[in-house]
Amino acid sequence: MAQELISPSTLIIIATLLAAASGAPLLVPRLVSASCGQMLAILLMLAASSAGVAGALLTLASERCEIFELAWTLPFGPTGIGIDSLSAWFLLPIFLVSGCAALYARSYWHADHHPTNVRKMTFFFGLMVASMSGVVLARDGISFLFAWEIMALAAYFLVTTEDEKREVNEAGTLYMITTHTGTLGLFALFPLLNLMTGSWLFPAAGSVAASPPLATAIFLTALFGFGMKAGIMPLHIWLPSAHANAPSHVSAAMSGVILKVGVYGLIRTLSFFHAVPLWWGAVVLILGVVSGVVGVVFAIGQHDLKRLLAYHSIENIGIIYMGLGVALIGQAAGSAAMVMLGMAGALLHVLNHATFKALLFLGAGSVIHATGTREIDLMGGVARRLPYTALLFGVGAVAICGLPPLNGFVSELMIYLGFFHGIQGEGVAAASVVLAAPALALVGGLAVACFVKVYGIVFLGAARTETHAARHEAGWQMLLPMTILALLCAFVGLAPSLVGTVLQRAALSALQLPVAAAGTNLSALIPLPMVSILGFALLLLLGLLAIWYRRRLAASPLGETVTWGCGYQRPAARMQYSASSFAERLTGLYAFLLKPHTHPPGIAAGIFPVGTRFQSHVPEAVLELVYIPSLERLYKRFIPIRNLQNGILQQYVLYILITLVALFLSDYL
Amino acid sequence: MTNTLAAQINSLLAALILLTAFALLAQRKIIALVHIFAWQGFFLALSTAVIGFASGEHHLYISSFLTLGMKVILLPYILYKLVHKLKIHRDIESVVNIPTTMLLGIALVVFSYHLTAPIRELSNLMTRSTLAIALATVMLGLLMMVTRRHAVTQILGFLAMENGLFFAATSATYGMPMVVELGVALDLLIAAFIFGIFFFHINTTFDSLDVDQMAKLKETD
Repeated sequence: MAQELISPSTLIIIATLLAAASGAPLLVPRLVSASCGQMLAILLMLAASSAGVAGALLTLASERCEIFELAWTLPFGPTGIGIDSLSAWFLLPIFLVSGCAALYARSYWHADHHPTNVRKMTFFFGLMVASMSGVVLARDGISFLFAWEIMALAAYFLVTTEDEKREVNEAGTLYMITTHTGTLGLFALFPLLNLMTGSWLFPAAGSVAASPPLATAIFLTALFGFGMKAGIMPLHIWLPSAHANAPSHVSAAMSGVILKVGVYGLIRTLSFFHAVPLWWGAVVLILGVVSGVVGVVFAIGQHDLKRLLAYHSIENIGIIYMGLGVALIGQAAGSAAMVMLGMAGALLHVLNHATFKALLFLGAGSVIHATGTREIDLMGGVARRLPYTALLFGVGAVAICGLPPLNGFVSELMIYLGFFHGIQGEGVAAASVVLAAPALALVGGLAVACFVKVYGIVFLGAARTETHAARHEAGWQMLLPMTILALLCAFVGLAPSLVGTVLQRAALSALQLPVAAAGTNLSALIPLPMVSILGFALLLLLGLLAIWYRRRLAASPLGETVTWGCGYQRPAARMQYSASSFAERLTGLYAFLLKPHTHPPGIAAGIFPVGTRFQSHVPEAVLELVYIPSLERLYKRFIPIRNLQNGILQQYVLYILITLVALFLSDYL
Repeated sequence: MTNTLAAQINSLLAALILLTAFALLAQRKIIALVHIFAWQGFFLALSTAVIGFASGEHHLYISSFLTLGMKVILLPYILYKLVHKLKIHRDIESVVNIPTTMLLGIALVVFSYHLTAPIRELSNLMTRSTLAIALATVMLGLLMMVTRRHAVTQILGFLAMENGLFFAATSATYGMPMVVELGVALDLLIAAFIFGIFFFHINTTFDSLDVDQMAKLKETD
């Protein structure tokens, strides 16, 4: 092998340290002005990002696995840091998206316009990126938890960047509570693992038997702890408000990467086990189906652009879980094809979702920056003022809907193929997979409906209100990251075979193939070159259609009117279809899930009509109808216990005295 | 001076420390409480010096001087000033009446003796018999904090407890390492400052130094 200049793991560690340090100069306000510090932080973050991506790519290309053990003084034995194909695969989106988001921040959250919080935000952004990388690199429970907690706290401070707003604080508090509840699961997970293996270091892939009850407990705690972070359906409550209230580039990083770190945790935990029982896969698959379908249904009902995108994150995490479920079922049923396709689909969707969701959040940020509102119903006609943003957002929208020729299609195709391989099997495995395939199709269809709504209402038509008419195209610092992400979407969608081999390595390091079928190839299971050919053909066809359409348009007379004017004599911009009216049919269909609050217009008693108003609003039903009532009941139930804490100082000291005496006595007995 | 004599002197001093601990429980006048606390510190310093002399552990002299400086002079002085400034004379009625408190205290002493009996068997230090008293002093300090309602008596209970801990350290192992003792001394000093602020704030907020008033700070549902 040729002499290499620097090893990939060194590159990644340098990248992590650079990211952690990127915001540090801003903490010394006397020495560094905010604007200058932000510039410096962005440069450092870009350097970190390129080093990290390079390191991850080199690791993936060389297919090596490096693990370092460091002795440290904490009483948990040695700590491990390691990088293998799975880690490298997750490092790709971490460094890619954060680099793009950091550059975007220069224009979106310029230090001169936000002097009060730019220092805090930039510092914690760097810290968050570094800690995410730390989570992925950690090879023992203790350092994993350290990195995990730093990540959670840094993300909290990022969500509450504008902590003077009540709404933002509430979102932050909800996030804080849920993330720590999730961490509680992890605090149970690692000791259980320690109990099984006798060490805090992670066991080698496939080295632990999945049959004992302890393994089941580990699986369940992982599902809970990591599911909370990933935002899987019943545990997703923090996600919409946190994503909506953070600055857009932070939402992009959170949705694009932090959720993926949760997925990584689950995959890493699952990779320890061999011979997983069938029901593990079935549970993951069902969670995926529920998240996917319910997530997208909630998304359709939203009026807030960023909340809507947040619900789409839940949906996409559902799709990733579906792939994971297929892989696990394949492992239990002994089907190498299912393992390979499911895992590859899930992992590719991790990367894809990171790119297109970051792209969409950044696009949404540009729109919000230009219009000054997050309400979809107040926007309209944005494409005319922000043509590039509109184009890039369109690319993201097509990608997230899983349409060819972009990347979402490829990963969903893999998961579909995994389903079809599963159907050929027999028993429970086939049955569960048969039920999941239509769910994925439903998710895809509803996602298209939702993004037609978003794109139609926000970008097309005419501006609905003068105050929120888009003013200016985004600056180059905002457009460049979006362009990079859009090109990546296109690259993965058009040339999936280039990604295939690397993807296969990552998938194999995540899950063991059934013994009988070692050596199964991803390229034999899915005709990736064919996907490219069809993708290019589709592009060509679209291009031809566009040319033909332009020709026809040039030949016909032109007039200007309001879109969807519904045949009124004098249509006004406010009469256009609104987001609620567009989605009314679908939200009505799913009213049993969404529980929309509708305030129908009152009808005047007299002869002449008077002014009236109509309001509809889709709340976070799971939070408002399940969690809050049950927590309130719990609170009431525990009021007697709260009497113990009565504020009288002497009683507190008495508790100490009683405890002390009791402890002495217990030792004595 | 032979070791037996030193042990006897030490036992006498331990008895005096226990006596002052009970006096702290019984006394109502706050100025008198501060005096008793200073006496307790004095006996403690003396006992530390005696142990240091008899065992040849000369770093105990430094501890002894620190105790003398901190617990006999500085802290009582600060408290004395405070009591004068805030014009406090008598304690507010205690939660449990004094005879009951004394009985409880006796029970705690018996309990401590019972608890340290196995250690007395195992240890061969000359101070082994005073460990029970040290533990009892800690518990009596805690008891004082439980039964008194005045902020200053709370603090005195806390400081008495610290005296007990210090005595336990010298009795059980001929004192803690120097670094730890210096740290504890510094902690005490800082604690005294914090108490000063604490008094001031309770006094201005509630117009009283009754810590029961602090129950008002609790969130109500």
